[in-house]
Amino acid sequence: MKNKRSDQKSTQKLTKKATKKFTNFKAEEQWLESMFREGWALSGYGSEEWDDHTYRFEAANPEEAHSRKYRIDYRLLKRKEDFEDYRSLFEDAGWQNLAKSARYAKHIFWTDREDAASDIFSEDDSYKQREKRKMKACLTNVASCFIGFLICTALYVWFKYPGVMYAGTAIGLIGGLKGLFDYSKHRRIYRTFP
Amino acid sequence: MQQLSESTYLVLLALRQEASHGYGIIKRIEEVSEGTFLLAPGTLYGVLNNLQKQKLIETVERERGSRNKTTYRITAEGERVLSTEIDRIRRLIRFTEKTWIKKERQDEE
Repeated sequence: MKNKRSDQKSTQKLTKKATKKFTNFKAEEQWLESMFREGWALSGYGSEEWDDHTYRFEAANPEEAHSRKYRIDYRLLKRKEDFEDYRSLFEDAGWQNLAKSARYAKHIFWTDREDAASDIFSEDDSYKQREKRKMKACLTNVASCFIGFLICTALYVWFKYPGVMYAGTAIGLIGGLKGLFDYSKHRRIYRTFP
Repeated sequence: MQQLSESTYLVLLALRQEASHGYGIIKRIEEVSEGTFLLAPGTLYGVLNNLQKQKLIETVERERGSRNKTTYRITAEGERVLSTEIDRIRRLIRFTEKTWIKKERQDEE
């Protein structure tokens, strides 16, 4: 009887959504860990390329561990097979991947296992390369904002439609500035490595 | 030729012994070194990627439709780079031991 009741409870799990801005992987990992300590287990997140960072949480089971380790890797995996390979390597080593598709360049892993390696990287250079991949993605975003801005300007010149021009300027400025800001933040961390 | 990182060196050594999939490499290195060398998955993935780009390792052709994990093996170039690195380490150790022994003798006198 008692079991049944707890089953019912778990089917109506409380959920919570959060939006937060991060430019530091370590700070993001620590925030996710502090959320877990408050009883919220990460259940999903947005790909972060264009939107803000969005997170979905579920109430953690009280039987579950009291603390959980979260680690973030940033790596664009183009092919589905690469993603499967990558994911199974981490899973074998005790780290669960939360993203459901290969479209995500940001990979959040978690583990409760005491025997899992204490981190997903065992070399300082790996942290440096993670920043480098993120910086490259930021610059790609800036470049595509600039191209978008040029296309809108060209459309305005040809069709004299000012709405297009305003939209283009907005995309170019907001997207481009965001990309540059993120780039500089990650570059600062990148330069702390030898 | 740039000096190999410790992880890169260990991965090449493990693959020189036997072709293997990613986690198999981590396990073999851990077992043979009796827990001294622990490679984390994120670091290993980066190392495998770099080695593949430099053509020092390659993937073994998968059977069609099989869901097996990718298996890696060392290439002839990989073996060459590895043996150059082993020679370098041997020289370093010989030199270290010679000077170390010299220092100990001096201390005794």
